[in-house]
Amino acid sequence: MTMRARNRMIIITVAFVVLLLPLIPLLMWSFATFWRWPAIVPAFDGGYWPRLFSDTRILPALRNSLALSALVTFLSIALGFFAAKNLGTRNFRGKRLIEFSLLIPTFVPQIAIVFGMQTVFMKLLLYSNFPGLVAAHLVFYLPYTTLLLAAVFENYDTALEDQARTLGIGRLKTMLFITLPAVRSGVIVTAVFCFIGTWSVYLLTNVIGDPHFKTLPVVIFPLVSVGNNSYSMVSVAIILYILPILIILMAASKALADSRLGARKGAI
Amino acid sequence: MTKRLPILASFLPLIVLMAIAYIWPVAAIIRGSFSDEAGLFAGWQNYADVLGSYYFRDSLWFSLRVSLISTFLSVALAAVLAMALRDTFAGKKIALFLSQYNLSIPRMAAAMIMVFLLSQTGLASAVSHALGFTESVGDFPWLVYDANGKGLIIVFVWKFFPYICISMLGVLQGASLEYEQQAATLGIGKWRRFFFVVLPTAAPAIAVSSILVFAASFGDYEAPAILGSAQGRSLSVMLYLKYVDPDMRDRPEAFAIMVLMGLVLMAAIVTCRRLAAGGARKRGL
Repeated sequence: MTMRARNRMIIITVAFVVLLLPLIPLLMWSFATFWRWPAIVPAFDGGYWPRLFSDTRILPALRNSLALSALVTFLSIALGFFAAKNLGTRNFRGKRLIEFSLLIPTFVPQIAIVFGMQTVFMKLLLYSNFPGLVAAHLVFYLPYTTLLLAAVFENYDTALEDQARTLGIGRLKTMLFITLPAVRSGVIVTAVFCFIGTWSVYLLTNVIGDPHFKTLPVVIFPLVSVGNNSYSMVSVAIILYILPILIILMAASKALADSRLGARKGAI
Repeated sequence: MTKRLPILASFLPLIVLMAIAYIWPVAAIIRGSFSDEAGLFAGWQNYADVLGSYYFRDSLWFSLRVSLISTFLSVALAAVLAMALRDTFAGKKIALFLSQYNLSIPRMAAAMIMVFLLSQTGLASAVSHALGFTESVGDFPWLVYDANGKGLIIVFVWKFFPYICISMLGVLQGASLEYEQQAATLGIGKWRRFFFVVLPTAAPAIAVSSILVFAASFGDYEAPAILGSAQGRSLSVMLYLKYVDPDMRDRPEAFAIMVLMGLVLMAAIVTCRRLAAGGARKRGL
């Protein structure tokens, strides 16, 4: 069933407009201190941007968010790599059970578990400090990363590895020069999705987290939920919240296109 | 034996972390849901209180309705877009671009973006005034902060429909084409082909991605906390308010709500896996 070219163009154009139009007021607000209804365009005066560098919350929070998400992503990949390889390339008893259990933290919303974690983390002295915050993020993103990586390894052929071993090449060398290059784009895509996942976390960081280590969503949330009058500041913070993700997606666009994973499993 | 050990060892970090930081909290929540505020065993009392409460049923209905409507609208829009994109050369690239960018915008940011656009003093309202459709702020409909969750539905659909579109495209550009050509040869019309050939072929892919979208919107806290109103309260916001209330009498009920929420989503996972497995079998994979 083919669609007429004109209808097709209309649908695609409308989709683009619907998806990109909402970003316009966000951008306009960031450059304007005041924007009173019914003006369609505000009086641009630079908005909150010139004051950003004297702001004591937004930039430190941006730095904290970057550090936390990078650390959690690195740890998730490092700790989940071999588990994912076994899940993707081997058959063993209990495999289905493990796959099923990994889905649970990914599916069940954080609000339904976070207060239980709070009680347990308090007992373990992991409450309201940095190691606890990292552990709390790992609880959700290590299983998620393992699942995504396992899907990468499903298309991976272990024959080359076996040959290398027969030739007497050591485990570390095999890993570095055979396994890793073969799954490179899958690992990059997984890292991107994991990063985006941890980057969006608010509730967990707010409930378990370190009060001296505020991430961007933790700083933004109180600004947006109280009928706030500094929309310009909020817009600047939100743009800084979205921008790193766009940069990362663009930087990884080649890997995303290469990997079939990109199309199937999104960063929900 | 030598092969067994590395397998177990590779899962060790996962098992230890999940046992301590997931299973233990789940156990604590389940125990809390069967205890009163003093920590004494209360049987099914909390569940009876929760299920009997008007506010709970109202919130549950609100959340279910918002996430089901969001999912349904996302699928419908995704189907239209996917049909438009399937024959284009760059279609897949465009859809991939859109789905990845939109899906990646955090819900908190998406919610606020919609406030700037659609609130009664937002850009859409100003444009509608300039075009003469509305005269005052109050003439513009309540799209965000409304009791029916319209704003939430807009946020979820905006964020998720390109994602469903992508998973449909995979099928529409593959298996479905062949059957459609056969149906066309047999002289079957274009709408009948869509409903009786295209949709059934794409059904498993649609089902799996819609359950993901349902789960993501049902359990979300940030968007409803930002866009919610006093009347329409999503389950997650209600649960949050019950738990953090300084008067801790509501906590046992909050625990019961957490368990019920977890059960709804466990059911979603099981259905999703069934459908995914069924879909793979049908395609002969």
